[in-house]
Formats: sequence, structure tokens, C-alpha cells
Amino acid sequence: MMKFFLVYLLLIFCSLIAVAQIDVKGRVIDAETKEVLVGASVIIKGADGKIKKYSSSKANGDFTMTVPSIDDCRLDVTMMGFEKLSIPLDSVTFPLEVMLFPGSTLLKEVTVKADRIREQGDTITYNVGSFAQAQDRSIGDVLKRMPGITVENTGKIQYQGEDINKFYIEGSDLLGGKYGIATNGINHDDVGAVEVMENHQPMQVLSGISFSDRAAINLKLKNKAKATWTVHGDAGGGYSRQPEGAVWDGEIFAMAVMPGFQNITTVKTNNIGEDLSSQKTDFFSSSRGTALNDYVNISLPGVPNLSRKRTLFNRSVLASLNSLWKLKNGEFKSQIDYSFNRITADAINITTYFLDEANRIIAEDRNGKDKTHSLSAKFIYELNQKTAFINNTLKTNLDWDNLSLGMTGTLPNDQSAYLPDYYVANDFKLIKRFKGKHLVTFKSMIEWESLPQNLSVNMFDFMARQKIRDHSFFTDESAAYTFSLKGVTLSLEGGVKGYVRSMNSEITGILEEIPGDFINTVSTNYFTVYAVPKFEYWVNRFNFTFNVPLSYSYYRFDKAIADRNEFYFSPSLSVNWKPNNKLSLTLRGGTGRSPMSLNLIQPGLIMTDYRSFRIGTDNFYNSSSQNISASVTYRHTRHGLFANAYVMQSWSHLPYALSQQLLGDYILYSYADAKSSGKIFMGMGSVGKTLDFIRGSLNLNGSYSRNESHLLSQNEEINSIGTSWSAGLKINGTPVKWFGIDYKFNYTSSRLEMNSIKEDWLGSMENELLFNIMPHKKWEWHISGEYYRNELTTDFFKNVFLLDTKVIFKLNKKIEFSGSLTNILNQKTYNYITYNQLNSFESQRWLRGRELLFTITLRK
Amino acid sequence: MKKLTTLLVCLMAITVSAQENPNIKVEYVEKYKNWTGSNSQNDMLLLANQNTSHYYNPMTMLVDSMLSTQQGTAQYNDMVEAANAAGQRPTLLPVSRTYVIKSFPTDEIKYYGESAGELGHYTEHMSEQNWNISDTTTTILGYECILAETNYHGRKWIVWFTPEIPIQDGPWKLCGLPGLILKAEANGGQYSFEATGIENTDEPFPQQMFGHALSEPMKRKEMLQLQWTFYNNSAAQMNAMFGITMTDNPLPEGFDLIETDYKK
Repeated sequence: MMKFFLVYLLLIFCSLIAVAQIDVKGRVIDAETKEVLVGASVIIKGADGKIKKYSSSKANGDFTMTVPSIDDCRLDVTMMGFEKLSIPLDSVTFPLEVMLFPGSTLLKEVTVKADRIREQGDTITYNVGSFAQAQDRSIGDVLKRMPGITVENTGKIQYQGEDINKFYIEGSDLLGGKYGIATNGINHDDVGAVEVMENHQPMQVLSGISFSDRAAINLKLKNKAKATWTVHGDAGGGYSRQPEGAVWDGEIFAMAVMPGFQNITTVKTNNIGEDLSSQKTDFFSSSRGTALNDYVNISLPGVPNLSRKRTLFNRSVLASLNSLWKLKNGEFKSQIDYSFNRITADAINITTYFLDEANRIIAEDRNGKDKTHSLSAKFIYELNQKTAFINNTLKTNLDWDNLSLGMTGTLPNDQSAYLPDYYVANDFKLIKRFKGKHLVTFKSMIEWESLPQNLSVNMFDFMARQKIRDHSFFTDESAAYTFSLKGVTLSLEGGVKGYVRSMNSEITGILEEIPGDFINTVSTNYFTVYAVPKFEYWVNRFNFTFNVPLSYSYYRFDKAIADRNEFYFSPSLSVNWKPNNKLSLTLRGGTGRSPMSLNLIQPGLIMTDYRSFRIGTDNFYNSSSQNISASVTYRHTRHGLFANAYVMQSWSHLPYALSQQLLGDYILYSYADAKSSGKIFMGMGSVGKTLDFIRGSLNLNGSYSRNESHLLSQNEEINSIGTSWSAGLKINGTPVKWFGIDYKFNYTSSRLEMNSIKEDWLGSMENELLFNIMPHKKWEWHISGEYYRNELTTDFFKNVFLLDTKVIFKLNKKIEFSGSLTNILNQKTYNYITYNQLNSFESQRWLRGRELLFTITLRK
Repeated sequence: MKKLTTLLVCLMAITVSAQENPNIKVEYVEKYKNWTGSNSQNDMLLLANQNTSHYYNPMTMLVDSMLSTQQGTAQYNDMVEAANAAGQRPTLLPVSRTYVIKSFPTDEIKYYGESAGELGHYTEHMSEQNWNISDTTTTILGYECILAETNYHGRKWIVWFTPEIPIQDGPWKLCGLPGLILKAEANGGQYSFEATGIENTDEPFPQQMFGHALSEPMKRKEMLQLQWTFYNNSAAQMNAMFGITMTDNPLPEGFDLIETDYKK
């Protein structure tokens, strides 16, 4: 009974509380128009002025709030554009009718600056520290890890799959296209941030007219690396089993970045199989107009299907000195590089003929040495302003190449070639902009090149000397005008080209079997007038680009051939369609006519190596070609799926063909009238997928190509078809913090078919596996293996397994020690023997043997 | 019949709100530590009236609106040139493709954003933000502000709003207080918004969300998960995209998205 009573009391109490709740409701109305006001702010404030409850007037102007008490409370009703109303709630009845009078809500204005476009645009900035990892040395290592950026082994950088167009250090373009020196050299610890400037138009005068789809990279240095010299270097020494002896690897890198002056100087040397000459490659260079080619064609024997580092026996030195001075107007740069490379190679081929009486063995040993000195210098003046751009570049490239190749066997001989190359050029570019959109460009290119080639061949029955002098001068003067109007961008480039070339050659020695003239005196000159109109049109999600280059050339060939007048026209069209941000489709097609290489004109004989001779054509030929291609890219970020594919078909028609003739032990190549045509089909595709569960990814790629050629020569038809395909897989991930894995697999296979006689498919397989173990932040351990399986003849395979390891210890930020052991299993040769019924063929090549290298790295 | 009337009134309200110009323009600076560990700062604008508001990055909108036409593309390039003239290396990049459109009569927040390169949008309700108003006050830009708190989509937000400006709005998605939010900070200060300018305005709302022509409807958590996967495993994404090998890059300590309730 008592219990019920208590419950009853509780219920009464509750209802009393409920009763004490007061509904504050009403409607907000415009006092003048009597219309309801939506969105007015209604606030109940207590006696202390604090907010007790708040709401806003709904679509019909009504508001409702429930409060326990309204004693001493006020209702504040406010709305933008109306005067504030404050009503004491003690003496009112609900629902309230709140009348607001129009008036201005007085804002204490503070100027908004956000919608004024900041003069300096934004850039994607990557903080280097957050991308750097324990094993990183140079800024290139860190760049590799930044999203969208890829760095090739040579140091070349791509952003979103496109080559970058400028590489700046603190806003200055010190190195031009040779920025590999910086990516391979600058210590990442000296760089604070990497800025990626998308759609970077390096020539200010072009901005607004030419929209670059390329990006540029700017390294922002830390303060400690600015206005001072920073120096770092490493020295490594060790021992190798093959080539037997000491090995070294060292580097010094110095950099100064001051307000008016920049410098990067570096010296590197090694004999551990690392080719340094690629590090000074100019990634922005274009082909030379002088168009001289080596006639002499001898090279060191190579090793198939193995990475170059495994087979390169080198001694390399690279020195590079780059300076930039900022002037009152513009800037001046000088870039001087020197490299030396000494490479040796050795190869033995043994053929055994199974004969009844006794086997006959023929051994052929080729060993050679190539010594190259290369000196290049560039002096640049550049003025980069809003209305004008001027660039003058004076450059020279001097190479001295000494190659000697010895051979023992059926045709024992010694060849030595001296192949220097001297090149001087001056490029001038002026772009002037007027009335905003109108732009005129003048370009002047002057080039001179000399390519003397000396070859001497010593054989048991003769000693031949060949001397070739080949010089050319090229100039290209052009002007271009661009403007855009209503979605169409039109550009027109026109100019003249002049070319003067003379070549003399002479062979002395005893050569009875070879018929023909041993002397050449050729001059090939031309004068061309050309125009390149280009139209670009955008509509919806389509972009059409139409290029129609036209040219007229007058050729003059002293005595060799009669003078010629030629007209060339090579239109091309490309269409790009981007229906959404996942898919992009491009179709391209073109057709055209082009002249043959003028190097083919040569009436006399030229010796290309100890047993090959070439006689040129005494006719002038033009070839024609057509091509179509399609490419598609697809990305679905949500599913971590990325795919692209490319197919291409091209046709070519040549009115001449290369023919070969055996004269005893010698081969004579010549050119003759013949209808020859070729057809190439190529297809490739790749699919990438992220593997989030192991924080890694998977890549699959494949390609197929078919190269068909028909040659009709002296009523004899020769058809050949080369087919090849490849498939690859890459998988990598870091399943746990201290352990990373990287696996690559690649398989390629090819077949040759000659006049319907098909050879067998021959395949080669490559596997690479790397484990990276980081037990402690000061220690790091890499273990990697490579496995190659190359098919030499049908079902006969050559297997190679190579194992490497490396341990790194970081004492502190300035000192680091590492020890590496490469080719642990000491695989010294790449030898194989193939058999058939009549003979056996044995090939021997050499690999770099087991190598131990200790390195100390110091940083200032 | 009554329902129909309500619907009509609602529709009218929306139509009216769509036509009405905003009466206030607020500039917010959005600050956060981004996934590379560096400090990011974006200038954002809030254009608002009683019924509706648009929150966006004016630079992005300008660039995207220009790039949507060929003529505009040319003009855009001219602006790049203006940057050049200022002696700076040019690039005028869209900063943040976030657009937040609020409709007070319908209690809806429409969010348009970019997540790992994919454009997506979704709608949520304002009533998901439940505020506790405190006694603490301060002055921001000369306005007396009151501190309020809410737990919203995985983070605790502390904001300062001023009843002196009777618009129940704020930066980003934040809204629903009896006055404009002038400052907001997520726990730990990883994300913050602060008003740096306030003006009366009669300029119209942006006509469309440029740059979002290819936007697709997505779920909020799905969008956040996608972004997180991208940040957390970007190396793998790049590997899958370009077929290059990169090692993993760890995210900065304590980094997370502005909303953290996407985690399963």
C-alpha cells in the first residue's frame, strides 16, 4: 500500500514539473508588409543575459521553445535587415506576434580580402622531412616517394607521367636539363620543401597564350643551406673478385645558393659498374640539325638480358661545374662538364663442328677497350619578362672516343677507331608580346659539327686505314605568330633552313676481293622554306588539333646526283575526348612524305668494320608513311584502379632497299631501287591496383608487336615478320613497419618468320625480389636476389641467380657507414652451349664477381 | 491539403531563397596540418542570408569558372601572367574544391568535395550538430562571442559565435547557433577556422559550382574512407597508377581527416 502511495506521489511530482515547463511560441512578422519572416533568430535570455534557449522562425514564421521558467527572461528576436527586438517574457501571453521593423543590422565591417586573387599563385608544396626515409641520400630519393613524382635512374623527373619542363633551385634555373646532377647530388637534408608548379609556363611572355601542361619543380632550401657553401661526400673502397682487385666509389658535392649567385660543383668517380656519363645528360636537349652519323660501326661485345651494372667493367670520372649570376637585366649561366669513361669487355665464342675424322674447333675471342673523354660547355644569357623573352645559348660539345677491339679466330684482326666529335652551336630565341594576346617569336639556330672518323684494321693478309672527314653547317631561322579567338587557337610558324655538308673518305691498304672505289668526295646541301600552320579547337569535352606542315626544298649535290626540287606535306590530326574525370580517349592519325637521310649518298666504299663495307646510293629517294593510333586511360580512385592502353598501326613505303652481298669473307652492303614496304602493329596496356591490406600495390602489364616487311628485289620477294610479346607483374608492400617487400617478374618472347618459314618462339624470364628490414632506426638491412631464365634455343635455357646484401648504420645525421656485398654467389660468367646435329656453339661472357664495398658518408 | 500547403510554402521559400542575394560576406581562414605534415591555409568565403548560404574558396571558384570556357581559359592564363608580372613564379591553382551549401528552411547541408581526385557530393542534416552553449565569452573582430561545443562526426568542436550577427551559420558545415560562428577549432587545433573579414554585400550567390560538373553522388563516410585510403596508402596508389616503385611514406603523427567517424 505504502509502495503505491509513493509511486502516486512521484507521479504527481512529475506532472508538477511538466506543468512548470513553459512553451514560448509565436510568429515573426514584418511590421510593414505583414508577411511572415523566415529564419529570424529567436533567443531566450535569462536575467543574467545568458542564452537559455534559442531557435529560428520556420517556413511559416513560427517558432517554439520550451523552457522551465520565464521569470525575468527576455526574448531577443533578430534578423538581418531588421531592427532587433527584445521582449520581456514576464508579462506576455503566448503565442506571441513579433513585429520586426526593417532597418539595417549594423555590421562592424572588416574588409574581406579573400576574393582578391593573390598575386602569387598556389603551388603543391611537399615537405621533404615527412617524405624522407632512413635509406635516402639525395633529394632524388625523396622525390621518388612524393605522390605523382617519378624519378628515373638517370635522375630524370616526371610529374603525373609527364616530363617536367623546368627544375629550379630557390627559383633559379641553374642546371637547365642537366638537373640529374642536382637530384643525384643534393642532400635531402638541405632541402626544406619541394614545390610542384603545375601547368608551368617557364617563359613568362607565353603565359596566357601557350598553356603548358607540364609541371616544374622548385627546391626550397633550408636556411642552413642558403647563403653558404654546403658540402658532402662519400668515399667507398673494397675488393672485387672480378675484375680482380680494388674497387672504389667516391663523390664530392658542393653547392652555394646565394641571392645573386648559385653554384653546384661535383666530382664523382667509381669502378663498380656505375655509368656516370648518363648523369650529365641534358633531359631537355633536342636532336642536332647537323645530322651527321657515324659511318664506322664497331662496338664492344655485350651481354644479353642482364642489368648493365652486372656486366659493366668501368673506370669512370665525372666533374661538373655550374654557375649562375643574376644581372641587372636577366641572368647569366655557365655550365661546364667533363667526363671520362673507360670500359673493357671480353667475349668468347667457340663453335665445334662434329666431323668424322676429328672435331674442328673454331674459337673467336673478342676483347676491347673504349676510352671516352667528353667536355661540354654552355653559356646562357636569359631575360624573362612579361612582354619579352630573350635567350641566347652558346654551346659546345667535344668528345674524344678511342676504341680498340681485338679479335682472334678465323679472321684474326685488330681494329682501332678514333672517333672524336666536335660540335658548336648558338641558339637565339626572342619572343615579343604586344597588345596582350599578340605574340611574335623569332628563333635562330646555327650549328656546326665535325665528325672525323679514323679506322685502322690489321689482319693477317692486309692492313687497312680509313680516314673520313665529315663536316656540316646548319642554320634554321624562323618566326612564329600565335593568337586565339573564340575557342580556336591558331599558330603559324614559317622559316628557312640552310644546310651545307661535305664528306671525304679514303681507304688505303690491300683489298683485292672488294670491287669499287675507295675514295668519296660528297657534298650534300639544301635550302628549305617551310610553314607550319596549327589549329586547335575546343568544344564540349573534345579537343581537336590539326597540324599541316608544308615545305619546299632545293637540294644540291655537287657531282654525285643531279639537283632536285622537292615539296613535302605531312598533315596530322589528333582528337582527345574526356567525357568525365575517369576516362580519356585520344585518336591520332597522320600521313606524309619525307626525304631519305643524306648520309646514304656516297658513290664510293666505306669500311664500317673489319669485314663490312658499305656503298651508298647514287639516287635521291623519298619515302612515305601513314599512321593511326588510339590511346585510352582510365582511373577509378575509389577502387584504387588505374588502367591505360595504346594501339598503333603504321605503314611505310620506301623506293629503295638495303642489300647485302658476300665477297669471300667480307660483306658488302649497298642500296638499290626496290619496292619495299613495312607494316607495324603495336599494342600495350597496363593495369594497376592498390593493395591496401599490405599497404602496397600490384601492376600488370603486357605488350604485343608485329613487324611485317615486304621487299621486292630483282623479281624476288622477301617477306619477313617479327612478332614479340611480353607480360610483367610487379607487387610491393610494407605489411609491417620494419619489413618491406618488392617483387618484379617479366617474361618476353619473340619469333622471326622469313618467307613463311617460322622459327620457334624464344622466351626470357626475369625475377627480382627485395627484402628491406629495418630492425632499428639506426640500422637497415637489404637482401635482394635476381633470377634470369633465358631461352637460347627451343627448350634450352640459361639460368642465372644473383644475390646481394647491404647493411647501413647511421651513427648520426652527419656520419653514416655502409657495407655491401654484391653477387654473393660469385657468379663470374654467363656461359652457354647450344647444340644441333652438326655443331655446337659455346658463348662466354663475364659478369662482375663478388664485390665487397665499405663506404663512409660525411655531410657538412 | 495542409501538407500540400506546407510543401508549397517550403517550395516558395526555396525559390525565394534561391533568388535572394546574400546580405553578408564573411572571410574565413581555414588552417590545418595537411597529410604531408606542413601547415595549410586557405582563404574561404561564406556568402549568407537568412535562408541559404554558400561556403567556398573564391580562388578555386574563379579558376574553375574560367576554365569551364575556352575564353575563360585564356583569361585565366592572363592572370597567371599577372602573377608573373609580380615577379613570382606563376601558378594559380584551385586550392580547395569544397563547396558547402546550406538551406535553412529544409535543414539541409549539401557538401561538394574532392576526395582522392574524385569529385563527389552528398546531403546531410543540420540537426546532426547539437550545441552546448557555455558562459564563456570573448571578442572577435569587435563582436562579442559566446563559446559553444558540439561533438560532431567524430571530433569535438569548440566554436565562438556572436548573437550580434543574427545568422545561424558558420564556416564549413558548422551552423545552427543563434548567431554567426566567427571562430571554430577541432580538438587539438588540428583544424581551425577563423573569420578575418565581414562585410555587407549585395553580390549574388555563385551561379553554379564550377569544377563539379563531373561530381557524382557519394556517401559521406565512403568519401572520407576514400580520402583516408589515399592519404594512408598514396605510394601504393601511385604504384598502381604509374607502375613505379615507391616506398611508403608515413603520415604525420596524429594526422586525421576533419571528420573521423568514417572508421569502421
